[in-house]
Amino acid sequence: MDDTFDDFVRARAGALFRYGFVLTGDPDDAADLVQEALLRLGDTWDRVIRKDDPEGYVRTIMVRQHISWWRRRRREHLMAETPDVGYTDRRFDGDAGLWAELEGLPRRQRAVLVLRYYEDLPDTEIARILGVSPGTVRSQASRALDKLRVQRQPALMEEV
Amino acid sequence: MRTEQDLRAVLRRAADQAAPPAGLVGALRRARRRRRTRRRYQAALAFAGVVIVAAGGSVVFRGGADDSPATNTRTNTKEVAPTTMPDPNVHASDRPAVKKSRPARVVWPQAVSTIPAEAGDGARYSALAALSPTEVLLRADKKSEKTTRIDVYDTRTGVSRVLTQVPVIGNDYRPIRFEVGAEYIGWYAMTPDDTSKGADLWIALRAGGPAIKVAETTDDMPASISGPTDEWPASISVTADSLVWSLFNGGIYRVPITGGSPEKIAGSDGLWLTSWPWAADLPPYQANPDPDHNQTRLVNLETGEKRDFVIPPGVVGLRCSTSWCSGILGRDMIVMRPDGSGLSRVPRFASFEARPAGSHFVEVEGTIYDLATGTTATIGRAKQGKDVAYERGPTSSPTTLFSWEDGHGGLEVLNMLAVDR
Repeated sequence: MDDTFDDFVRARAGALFRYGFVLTGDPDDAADLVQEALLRLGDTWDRVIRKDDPEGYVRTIMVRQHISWWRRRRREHLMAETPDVGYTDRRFDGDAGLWAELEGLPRRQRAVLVLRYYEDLPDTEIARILGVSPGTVRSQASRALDKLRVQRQPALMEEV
Repeated sequence: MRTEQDLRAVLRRAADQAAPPAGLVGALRRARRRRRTRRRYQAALAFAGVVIVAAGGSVVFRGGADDSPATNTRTNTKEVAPTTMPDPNVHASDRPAVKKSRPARVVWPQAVSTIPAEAGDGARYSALAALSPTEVLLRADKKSEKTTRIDVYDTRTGVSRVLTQVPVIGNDYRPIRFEVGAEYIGWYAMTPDDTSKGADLWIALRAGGPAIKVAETTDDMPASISGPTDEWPASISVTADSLVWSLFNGGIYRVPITGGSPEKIAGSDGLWLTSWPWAADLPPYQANPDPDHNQTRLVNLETGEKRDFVIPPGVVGLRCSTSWCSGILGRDMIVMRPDGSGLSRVPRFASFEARPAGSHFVEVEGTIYDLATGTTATIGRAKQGKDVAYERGPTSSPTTLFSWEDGHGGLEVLNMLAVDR
């Protein structure tokens, strides 16, 4: 079992870390999230490789974990130690303002945006992953986009 | 106004710029080992040593004759420090394969006894350790009164005596692992679910007397680092004048039986007690995160003597006492002396569940294998289906007493100190 799991980890840890980073906005939190999710994947590896897609499984664990206990656990830490906005300004080569504003979103709203615009998943799949209705996904996305002052383009949203 | 494409671009750019930490894979591997170890350890605490295995377990028993003497048994018990590597061209000789073994009561009738499952006052017995070939240490629990005491039962005469009353402090506080010394027995007790606390270390005279708490392991102990279970004892020993223990993370401590401050034994970092005065550079089974890892040495804590083992190429999971080693080579168990001599294979008997028992045995999922003679015997009572249940005496050094229900309201016990008599 361990050989195939180790191979998977070696091959996919980088991509999963990047996914964790867009979900959390913080490299340390991303590393924690990936590690915890891969530990859980390792516990069920034999079953997952027989029945499911391990990468999809671990990404689902990551986003659910991020929304639930993990995020709550880390919040105090983040509030205490997150540096000023210059952190992203220094590090981010792009629309640093938009990246920083993502930090201000409730975790579920941010997750919906990441699943929709980074993972390119349809709303029905996002709903399944988060365990909510597609209507909730749409309303959460809509609120998040409003906060970020992102104009919704109907043509691109009808990909379901 | 921003567009959805702007949002996509920001997320992708952020991902592209995120550099995964270099140590992620290694950290995960270490975390998985810690997790496995802690689960195993906590499971061991939770289930108080009850073992249930499918008959035959995961070990393959096939071919050969059982109970035949090993081909390379040495009778010279003098310890020899290893000085040479085994010749790689010399193959391990084959020992007989382990096929269906006979019950311990048949193979070692002098070592198996039936004892009552309850004391005269109704306290429920569970087997802890052998004190001598005819005396066993039993825990006697009276759930109705929430009391626990330790009794000594003489399997020859059927007479028992109370050794000591075990102090129980709070719900779920209980003795975990015991050890028999020449004059004292020792144990540590704790509340396993309360990871904020360490353990209490207790002793009582073998002749009988009150239990005395001699030390506590706490966060203030030197070298106790990171994580709640790191302050838990991994093993204990009782010497003539001290109680000695190693922590989960290694390092060995000593406190005088008469009381005083615990002190760390110099040079004990990276060592775990096996049986006093010996310590290994590998944690005991229940605290070992890596079953592949080979033990490479034993250190005598009294004299400082170090014995390094000769590890044959390809062998994993090597465990050595001062007189015998066993390990895994492919699907075979290998047996040898610590100096590498007498290397032999037991075909298809490899198991990471193998644990040392007595002075020269390994227990593999309900089968006891005598490293000296190659004799095997099975323990346990068949439950529903093919499961076999038994308990290992919860001692810190290799188990000296196995027990299982006899099906008629009694307990059968296998006393490892009586096997060679």
